[in-house]
Amino acid sequence: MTHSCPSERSAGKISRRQLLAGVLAGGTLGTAGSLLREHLRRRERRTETFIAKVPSYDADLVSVIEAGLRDLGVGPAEIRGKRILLKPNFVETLAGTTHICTQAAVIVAAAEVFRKLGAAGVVVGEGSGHCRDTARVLEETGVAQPLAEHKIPFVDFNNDDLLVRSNAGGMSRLKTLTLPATLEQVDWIVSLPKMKTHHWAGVTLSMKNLFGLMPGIVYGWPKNVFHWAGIHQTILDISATVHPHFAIVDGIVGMEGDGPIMGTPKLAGAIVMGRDLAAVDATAARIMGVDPLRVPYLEAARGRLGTIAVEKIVQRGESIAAVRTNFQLIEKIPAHQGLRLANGVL
Amino acid sequence: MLDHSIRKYLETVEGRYVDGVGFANRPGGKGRPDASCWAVLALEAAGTRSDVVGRARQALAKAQCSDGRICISPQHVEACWPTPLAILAWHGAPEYEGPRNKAIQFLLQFEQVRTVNSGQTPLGHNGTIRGWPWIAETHAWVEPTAYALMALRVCRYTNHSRTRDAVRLLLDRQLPGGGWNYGNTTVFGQELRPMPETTGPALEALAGMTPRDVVEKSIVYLRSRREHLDTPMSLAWAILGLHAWQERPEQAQEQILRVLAAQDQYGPCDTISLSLLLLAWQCQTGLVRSLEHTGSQDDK
Repeated sequence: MTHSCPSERSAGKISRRQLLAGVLAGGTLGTAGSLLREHLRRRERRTETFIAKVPSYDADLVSVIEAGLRDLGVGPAEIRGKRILLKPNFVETLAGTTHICTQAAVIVAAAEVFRKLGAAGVVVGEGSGHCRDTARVLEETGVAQPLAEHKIPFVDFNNDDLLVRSNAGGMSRLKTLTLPATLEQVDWIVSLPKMKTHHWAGVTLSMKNLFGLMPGIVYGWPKNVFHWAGIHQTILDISATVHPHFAIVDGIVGMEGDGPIMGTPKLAGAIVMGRDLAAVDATAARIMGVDPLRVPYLEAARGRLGTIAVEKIVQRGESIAAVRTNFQLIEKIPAHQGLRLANGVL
Repeated sequence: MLDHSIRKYLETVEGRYVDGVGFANRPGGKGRPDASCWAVLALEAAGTRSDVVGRARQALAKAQCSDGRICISPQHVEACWPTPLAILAWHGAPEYEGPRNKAIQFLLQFEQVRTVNSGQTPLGHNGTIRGWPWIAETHAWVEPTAYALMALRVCRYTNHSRTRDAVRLLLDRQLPGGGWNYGNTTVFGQELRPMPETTGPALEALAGMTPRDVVEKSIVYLRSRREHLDTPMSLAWAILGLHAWQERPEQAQEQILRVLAAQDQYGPCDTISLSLLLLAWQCQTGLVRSLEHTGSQDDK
């Protein structure tokens, strides 16, 4: 696993837990909170994300992903010889559906593109959050056959060898994080989430998707250790520790309402890509009609793990407005309350 | 007498033994306690008399912590969910009575963080019932509680308060429509979906502990789901769960052989799934009843 995380190294003298507490406390910190937010806003760097309109999984996804990588400056010079990990979201399955898990067509297309760019190898890895039977997950997501046909290896992160690392985020009480050993055998990590609402986290996109890296044999089914240590805090901790290199969000058919499992399909017709996972998630959230600054982990990521501010994200491909379609939020779900992005903001 | 249809698969399991550390969960992998436990159970059920069974039991005893727990790795003492599996693996081996009793004592005092039912929770289950978590300091879930209940039953703790609580918890987590998933029934008013690989262990653990009509919907779910399963872990647990309730799924052994043969196409099964399939083949009355035939007959 290769990383670079300059913002992490320059966290300065503000304690990370204080920082998160400040951000999560919202307006209650008064002047100190405002100063903190201003400090973080200034640290946001200009970045880019790419949005493609993709009406269905029958589209030429290889061309879409190729175009996105090209527009974002990812070419053969960067990818040649690298071992690529694609991390989809297979939290739970329901055979025949398209709205719960990252679709096989997107995974296979991404693998093909990285191979064309000269990658030394592409591997797909996931540790399902709810299902113990990984083979059943691959079968019911329709992924087993395409992976076999395209000779793309799969690693079950719930059962991989273990790698203990210091928690580079420091946001939760967890001192260390245990990762799958496969992360040491790859050079580039690509988060490949589904675009979904989430009843505990607000939205689940490329950062929340990283929960699936974490081995079930150490964190359980579900990965309840993170719920007890704080979902928002541990999303930030894992993101800071693993520091993935790229994200491709499957928003062709997403999930609205009571996500990430029991919601309903939402045709969003979009793929969102970028190097900065926070910016990719902020862009995807805006497409969903969700204000990323009201999602606690995204606001807390601002200036530390990436860029959230819309004015600092250069939009390649389509504009957000061209694909925005409000995902249903449920008022009785506390994590959904107040998330709606006002119309006309973009 | 070894069954010839499954002999080569038993040999595959035996071949996953790693000297001094127990069974690996995949070819060429490192030893893992849960894989060791399932491999021991499968080899014992088949009557292989393999010497690796004794060595794996010894490796488990060597890995046991001073408080009796068995952890997934020495660096992860909080991940002590393999403890009940080790109790099952040591069952019927009098030379491991000491480690087994220590593990039972650990299991009897170990529990989840219980939550208070305030009426405000969006979760449909009762978080105050004692059960077992996967990982220390977290909530109780179906599979670790089912394993613990199996271990307590096999060791004749059938009237212990923890056994009764385990039954209560599993019944509380049974989905209204039948079956179990990892352990949430409803969230924000929506009923979640059952899964075969958790319904099987729950039914296996509850057999003989609750009237059939209480779990009939779950049996019906598993019966219909089993017919269409073709992955090793889910199929094995579906058959074990049904066997435990005197169900005789049609052509179950043919189905097991078909799934075992599919390894030629999809690659080798992990040791746990392979062992579970072999147990499903052998244990015609379920796993717990097969084990209950050995060991002490005194209730505790």
